[in-house]
Formats: sequence, C-alpha cells, structure tokens
Amino acid sequence: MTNFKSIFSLDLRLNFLALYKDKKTALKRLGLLVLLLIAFAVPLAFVFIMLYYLAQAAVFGSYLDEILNLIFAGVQLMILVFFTPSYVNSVWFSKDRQLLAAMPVSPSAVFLSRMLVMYLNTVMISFVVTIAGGAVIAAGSAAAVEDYAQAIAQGALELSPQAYVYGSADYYLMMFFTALTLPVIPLFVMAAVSFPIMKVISYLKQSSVLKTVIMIVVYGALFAALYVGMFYLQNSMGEMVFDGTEDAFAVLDKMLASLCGYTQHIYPSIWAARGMCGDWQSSLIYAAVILVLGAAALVGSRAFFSLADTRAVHASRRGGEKTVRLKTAGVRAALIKKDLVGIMREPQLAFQSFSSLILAPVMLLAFNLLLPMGAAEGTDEMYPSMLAGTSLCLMCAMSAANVLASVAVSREGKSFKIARFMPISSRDIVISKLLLADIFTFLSVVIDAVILIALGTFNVLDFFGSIICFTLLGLGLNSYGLLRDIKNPNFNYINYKELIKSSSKTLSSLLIAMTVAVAGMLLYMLLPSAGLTGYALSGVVWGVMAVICAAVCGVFGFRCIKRMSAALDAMD
Amino acid sequence: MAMLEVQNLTKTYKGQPSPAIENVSLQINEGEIMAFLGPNGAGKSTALKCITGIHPYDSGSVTVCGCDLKKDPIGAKMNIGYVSDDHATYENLTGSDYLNFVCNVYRVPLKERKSRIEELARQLELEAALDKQINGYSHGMKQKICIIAALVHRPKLWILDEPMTGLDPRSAHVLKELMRRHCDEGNSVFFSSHVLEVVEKLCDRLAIINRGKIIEVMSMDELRNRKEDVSLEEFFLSVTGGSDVGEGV
Repeated sequence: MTNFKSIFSLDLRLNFLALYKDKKTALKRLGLLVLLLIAFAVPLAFVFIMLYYLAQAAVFGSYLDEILNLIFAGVQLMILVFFTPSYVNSVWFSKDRQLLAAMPVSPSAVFLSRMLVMYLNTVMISFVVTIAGGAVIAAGSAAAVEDYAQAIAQGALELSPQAYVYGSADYYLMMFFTALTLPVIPLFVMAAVSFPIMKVISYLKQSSVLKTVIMIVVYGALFAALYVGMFYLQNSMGEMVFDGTEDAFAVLDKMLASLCGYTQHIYPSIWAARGMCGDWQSSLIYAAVILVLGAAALVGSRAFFSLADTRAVHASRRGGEKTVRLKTAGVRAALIKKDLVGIMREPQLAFQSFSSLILAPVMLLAFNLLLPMGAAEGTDEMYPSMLAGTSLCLMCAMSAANVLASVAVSREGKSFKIARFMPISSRDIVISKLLLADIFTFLSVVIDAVILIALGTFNVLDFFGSIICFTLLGLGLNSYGLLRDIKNPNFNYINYKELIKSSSKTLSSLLIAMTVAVAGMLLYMLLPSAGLTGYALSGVVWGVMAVICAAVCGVFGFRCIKRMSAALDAMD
Repeated sequence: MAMLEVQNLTKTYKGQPSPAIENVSLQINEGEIMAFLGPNGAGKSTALKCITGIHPYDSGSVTVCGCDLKKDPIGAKMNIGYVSDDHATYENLTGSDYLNFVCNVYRVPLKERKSRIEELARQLELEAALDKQINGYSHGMKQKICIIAALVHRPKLWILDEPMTGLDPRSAHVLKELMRRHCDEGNSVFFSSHVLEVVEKLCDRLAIINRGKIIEVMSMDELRNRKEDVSLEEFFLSVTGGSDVGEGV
C-alpha cells in the first residue's frame, strides 16, 4: 500500500476541497443541493409516511427488522443504481492512471483511496436515509404502543418483543453503525462484479466501442435483475386476498407479510436490522461480514486492479492496414459525428450519457408494475392518475435533463482549441453540440413514452403530449446547460466523474426538470378531485405542461444560441 | 500581398495586471519562412494563439491573406494550417477519422483528400497507423498526425508551435523539407522554436519576443551582416538579457 496517504489526500482534495475552492462556489453548490433536497422532499415524505404506518403494524407481527431491512435494501439499491457509473469512471477510467503507473504507488493504494472517496460520497445518502428511516420506524413503534395501549392491556392485541426497541440505546447505536457501514455492501458488489469484467475488457483488441457496449449491457443487466426482482415482489403482492372486511391495520399486516417474505432474505443487512431489534449476535455477524467484504475487495484489487493498461495500448499499434474510408459531410454533421464517435469510444463518458437511456425505462417499468398494489381489485379510482402522474414525474426528471449538454465543451479538454483555430463558426459549434444533446433527449423521451403506453399507464394523448413537452423541455435545459458550460468551462478534469460532479450546471438543470416534474405530478393527482378523468384529464395536464415546457424552452433555448456563440467567441 | 500582417496586437489575460503581449507587430511575405523566438513565458504561444483565433485579443489587428481575423474569421482561418505545441487532437478518433474531419471542415474535395492524406502519411511514415486510435499513438506519431492535418488542405500560411519537439531525426528532416517546399510553392511558414540551429539553417526571417514585446525583427542576412562572428544563439541571449548565463557556471 505504498504511498496510500499521498494518493488519498490528493483524491480528497480533488473530489471535495476543489469543489468548494472558494466561498462563492461553495455557497452556490450548497444552495443547489439544498434546493435539490427540497425538490425530493415530497416523494421522500410520502415514503416516510408509509413507513410510519407500516411500523405501527410491524410491531404486532415481529416484522420490524424486516421493515428496517427494507430501508437498508433501498439505500443499497440507490447506491448501486446511482453510483455505479461514478465507480467505473473514478476507479477504472480515471485519466491519471497512466501517470500514477509511472510513480512509486501501489495499485491497491489507488484502489483503496478511490473506494474510500466513493464511500464518503455514498455514506451521506446512507446516513440521511438510514437515520431518518430508523427514526420514523421508532416513532411509528412508539405511536403504536401508545395508541393501542388499551387494546394491548385488554389482550385484544399482542405486541412483539421488538415493539420496545425504540426505547433502547442499542437500537440507536446500531442504527448509527449501520448508517456508517451500509455503503460497504453495494461498493463490494460493484468491485466484485467489475474485477472479472475489466479483466476481460483489458484483453480486447477491438475499438473501445465494444468496451462501451459491454459496460452498458452489464449496467442494463443490473437493472433487468432489479426489474425481475420487482416483478416477483409485485406478483406476491398481487396474491394477497382481501375479503373487503379488513380494516387498514389488517391490510397493512398482509402487505407486510408479503413484503417481508423477501426482505428477510436480503443479506447481510438483515443482520444489521436484527441487531437493531436487540439481537446482539446478529450485530456481531454483521460487523464481521462488513470487515470481510472490505478486506475481500482490497485483496481482490491486488489480483485484478492494475494501473497500466499496456495490453490494449500495444494492441492498438499492431495489426495490418485497413482501407481508409473517407466521406464528405457538412461542418455541423462532421462536428456531430466527431463528438458521437468520441463519446462512444470513451466508455466512461458513454456510460454517463447512456445511463439515462437505461435507468429511466427500467425504473418506469419497475415502478409501473409494483405500484398498483390492490388496484387489480378495482378498489381505487385514483390509481390510474397516480400512476400516470408519478410516471410523468420520473420520465421528466430522468430523461429531460441531459449530462451531454452540461459538459459539452468541458469534456473536450485541451482538444477544444482545435475547433477554435479551424474555420468553424461559433454558431456551428453551438448548434452541433445542442443537436447531439437534443437527439439523446428525444430518444430517451420516446423510449419512455413507448414503455408507458405499452403498459397502459399512458393513453394516446399522454404519449404524444409527453414526447412533445419533454422534448421541448429538454431543448431548453440543454441550451441552459451548454451556455453555462461555455461561460465556465473546466478543461482540467482528471476523470469524467470529477467533471460532472464539479459542474453545478448538471445540478441546476436537474432542479428545473424536477420542478416541472413535480408540477405535472401534482396536476395529475389533484385534478381528478375536480371531476376530470381520462382524456379530459390528460388534455388539461398536457396543455399546462406544454405551456410550462415551451416557456422554459423559450427562455433558455432560442435566446441562448446567440449568447452562446458570443460567449464562445469571447472565451479565453 | 503579405501572407500575415499583425499590427499592434495586445492581449491581457483576465486577472493579470500586465499584458501578456503588447503592441506586437510583424509581417510575413509570400514564400518566407519566419521564426518566432523568445525565452519561456515571453508570449510566443499567446501571440500564436491570438493569430490563429484560439484566444481573443484586446486590440490590434491580424490579417491573413487579406482577411481580417475579427471581421472574417472563417475566411482567415481557411488559409491557416496550425500545429499546436501540445499536438492537440481528438484522441478517441482514428488517424483517418480525424483527417477526414479536418478535410470536411476545410472543404477539401473528396477526390483530392485521399491522395493528399496518403501522400503526407507516406512522407511522414504514418500509413500503418491511420486506422488506429490516436490515443494509442506515441508522442511523435501524434505530432505527425497534427502536421498532416495542418497540411492536408494546402494552407497558404502554415503556423507551427514548437514543431520539432518529439520528432525523430528522420521525421524532423522530413518536416524541414516540407516547410521549405511549402514556401517554394509560394506559401509561407511561421513557426516558433527553441532549436536555434534549425532556425539558422531554415529561416528567411526571424522575430524575437521578450516580456510580451517584439524586440527584434530581421532577416537572417541582416543578422549575419550585423554581427559576423556571432551565432544566433549568442545574439538571442544578448538581446533577451541572457548573455551572462554562462559566466557563473
């Protein structure tokens, strides 16, 4: 582990301190993060309210540990889903790998340092969700004990031993420990899966497009596995039988029994959950497993992780001559093709660009299959509009905001000056960058809309409305992102994760998309109470959304091209 | 007609108290090879980047083959072939992808581009690598692909920033031949270099910049007439204030 301290100190500086290099930047980023948290507050609040009531039912059926494990599973899933591209970029495709290979630095020191940085990034999420979730569960348990005290005293209801954990110090200590250690599990999974795959990839002589495709397929497979798991979960929920006489309590109890059939099998976090509920042996097992996972990842890095990628470099110089194929194209088409080829041949960038194309459809599929619990009984007229509204929200948030535009100029690094000394007008550069980002946005939106209409969540009006509105929104947000990138480019990044993370432009675009998304969702959920349903509801929703999206497009879009060209001309 | 006319070019970087270059003026005529010399940090790269349009400049004018760089940037740049000091390319493209892109931008006719690329690649011994990605090239190979890209559209003015860096002796010889031939065809070359022996043998005129200002512009004949027994190196050191460097060693 030669020179681990130096590498770790450098990584900390690059990943954290550099982002807050001056007070103004720091305040700006923190402000955006707070706004983002506020935007996510509504769906999070919904989840925590549901957990509160589930906890009340759980204390009577000894399901508390499984409910806690549901939270832990959610945290692990979030880390896996949202941080896998970041892991791949910063650990395997960092630009400084060759530089470090020439230094007296051991590969495992670099690996450990990068994983620790990943851990620091993910532990914040783990903390927020685990502590908040644990506190809500505790509050639910306490409320159940108080609210049903009479029934319990009369012997009508019986509390499980887990009911009183909210009062024990062990619960909170273990909760804190779990919050700190939970990210180790998904990080180990990422490491374990990546080791053999990256070993195979390093042998590939072919162009890096193949490497990109492999990575996207693996990422897609991860989500397909998620979808399959959700599908089985939904199936088990669908098998619940209600005879119409149950009160809310009984309904919750049946839901719990079904859910917990799965969550009790999610290891090793179930041991942490049991530890929180008073089983100290499970706490010890969990701690030991965490240590073993961490050690295993480190040992694995010695065998699989290398700083030099000599095989691929030598391979690229071998081989016979091929016929050079030359084609004419206009300047804009040439710029778009050059950008697209560059993205496809840079696995880490392609990963970031394509992740929304994969993530959004899978999440929409999983969500639309999971949510209608009990809807099959036709007991709730609100479900279709709730489903459509939430799908609209997901679709907008995940597909309309595109990372391509926000780092379009910065990602070229020192190569950007090539376009400056060539006879290419700034307007052509701007339009070609925008077109590429807009094409990606359009594709993403169309795929999502096709999935939703195929599932029956969207009707024809929703289908066309969503494509038109979110494409317009994407046009506006892409212009906004590109303008900000031109005004504040970052050509000195080491890896794409650093580039995207250091960019507050991606955050602010996401914030605008989230705001529009929540507005759409609220429309879908509130308008039915005014008597609007079916096509009438869709017509009003998409009418309003069209106005909002057109306004965003108008404000940020058309006016921006001129400003962007001028800003590009003035760029130093 | 002057191939390149720079008048009173001044540029100050944001946040800097003094200009990086100030009132830089020079002229390159048809068929000339002009060298641009100066100590490290003198402003050579800044001047070259302003002339090629990479950096905007605060005042002055740059005219390339009669086209003003600010009024007609596309027209001016169509006449320039530029090789940067850090051989910037799009490294994820193959050599042929990159050259095809350059040909599209400079509107090189399809009929011509294949033969030009093949000819230049053969001269610089890069044919076998054209279908490989540039990120797998050595330093010298990257330099060569930049040279090909700068010449493929037959620019009237060829601007090179430290072109000899990283080239093996054969390639350096070929580059010098290309520069000479380019000028013999009525075009011009403007390049910066620290290799004064090459400058002495190759150039018709030279300009020396120090601390952002042009301190000398002269032809090689004038230099030889002015100081018979003094080498270019000694002259350079004397005008840039480095003549006392050897005394303390």
